[in-house]
Amino acid sequence: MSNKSHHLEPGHPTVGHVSPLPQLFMVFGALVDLTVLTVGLSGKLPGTTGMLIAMGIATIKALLVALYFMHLRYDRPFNGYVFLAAIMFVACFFGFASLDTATYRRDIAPYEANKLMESEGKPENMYKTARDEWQSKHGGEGTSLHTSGEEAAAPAEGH
Amino acid sequence: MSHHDHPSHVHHHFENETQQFDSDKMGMWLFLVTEIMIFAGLFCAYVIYRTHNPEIFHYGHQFLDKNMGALNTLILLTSSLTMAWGVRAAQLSQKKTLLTMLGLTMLCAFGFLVIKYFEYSAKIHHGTLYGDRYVWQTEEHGGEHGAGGDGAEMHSLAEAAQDANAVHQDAMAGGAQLTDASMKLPSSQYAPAPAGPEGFDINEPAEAKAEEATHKFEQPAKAHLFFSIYFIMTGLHGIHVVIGIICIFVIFVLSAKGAYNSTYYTPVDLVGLYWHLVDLIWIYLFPLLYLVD
Repeated sequence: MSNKSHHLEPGHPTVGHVSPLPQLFMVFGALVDLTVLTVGLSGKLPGTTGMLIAMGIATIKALLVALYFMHLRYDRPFNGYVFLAAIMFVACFFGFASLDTATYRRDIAPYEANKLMESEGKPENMYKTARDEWQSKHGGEGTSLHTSGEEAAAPAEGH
Repeated sequence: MSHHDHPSHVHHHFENETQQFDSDKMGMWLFLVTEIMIFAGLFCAYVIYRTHNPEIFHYGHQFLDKNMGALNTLILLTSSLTMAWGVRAAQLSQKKTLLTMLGLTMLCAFGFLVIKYFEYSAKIHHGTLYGDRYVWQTEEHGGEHGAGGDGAEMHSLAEAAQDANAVHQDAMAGGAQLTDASMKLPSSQYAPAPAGPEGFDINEPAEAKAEEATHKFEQPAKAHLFFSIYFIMTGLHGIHVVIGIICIFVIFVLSAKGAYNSTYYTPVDLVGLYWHLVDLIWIYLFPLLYLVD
C-alpha cells in the first residue's frame, strides 16, 4: 500500500498511515479479551495443550499489535519482510536448539543419577547400570520424557 | 533536485520526505529485529531449561502472582493503545492530544514498573531469587548467572547430590526405579532437600500451597533456575520499559516545543514502534512465566 495515499485529505501527513480511532479501540478490545481468555484458561489445560493454546493466543495478540499498532499492515511490505525474516530465524534457532536438547536429554538423567551415587561413595561404573535401567524402563514407551522419534534413535547411540 | 526544494526536516541526502521516512522506519525495524534476537536467546534458554527440568517451572510459577501479571499486561496494552493514539495525534497535528497520550503512556509505564517493584520485593523478601543458595550470587550479578550459571553449580558435592536428586524425582514421577541408590530415597524424603542453609521461604497463596501438596515432590533441586530465568527475562524487559520511558519523555518535551506535526512526526512513530515491541515481548513473557504450568 502506498504511503502517498493520504495526502489528499487536508491535515493529513504526506507520509505514513493514520489509524482510525475505532480501529485502535477494536484492536485494544480484542487484546484485552484475549488476555482475559488466556488468564481464564491457565491451569485448566495441563501440559502441552495448555502451552500450545497459551502460545497461540499470545501469537494472535502479537499479530494484532504488529499489524495495527505497529502499522505493518499498511506499511511498506519490506518492513514486514524484515519482521518475518526475524521470526523465521528465531524459529530456526529454537528448532535446532530443541532438536539438540531432545537428542541428549535421555543421557543427562542417568549421568546426574550417577553423580549422586558418586557423592555417596558408590563406584563410578554405576553410570552404565543407571543408564541401562533408565533405558529399559523408558525405552519403547512413550513417557512424558521422550518422543517416539528419540526412542528409536537413542539405543543405537547408547551402545 | 535543488536544495531549496527540500522541506527543512528532510536531510539533503534524501530525495524527498517519503524516502527519508521510509529509510528511518526501515532502520527502526532493523533495530527491532536485533531486539527480537536478544530476547530470542533468552526465550531459547527458557525452552531448553524447561525441556530438561519441567518440574522446576511447574514449581516456580506458583510463586508468581497471576493477577499482578495480568494487571501488568493490561497496563502495557493500554499504554500501547495510548502510544498508537499519540502517533495518530502527531500525524494529525493534534498537539494537545499528542501530549496527553504520551503522558498517559508514561504513566502506564510507571505503573508497570511499580507493580514489578512490588513483585520483585516480594521475591527478595521471600528469598526466591536467582541462585539464592549461593552466597556469591548477589542481586547485581544474578542476571549473568541466570543463563550461564550451570557450570558453577558443580562446585560442591552437596549440589551434585541435589542435581541428581532432581533426576530421581523425575524418575519416580515417571514410575521408574533407577537403582538401589534411588530406592534408598523414597520420595517422601525429598521434601527437605539437601539445600542451602536457608532453603525456601514459601509464602504463596493458600491454593498454591494446596496444589503444591499434591506434587510428588516439594521443591525440585535447581528450583533457583526458574527464578534466574524469571529475573533475567523480566529484568531485561524492565530495562526496556525504563528506556522506553526516557525516549517517550524526550519526545514529550520536544512535542511540547511543537517539534512534531503532520509534516514531520517520524521520532514519535519510531518511539511508538519501540514501545509496541516492548509490549509484544511482554505478551509472550506473561503466559510463559505466569500462566503455563
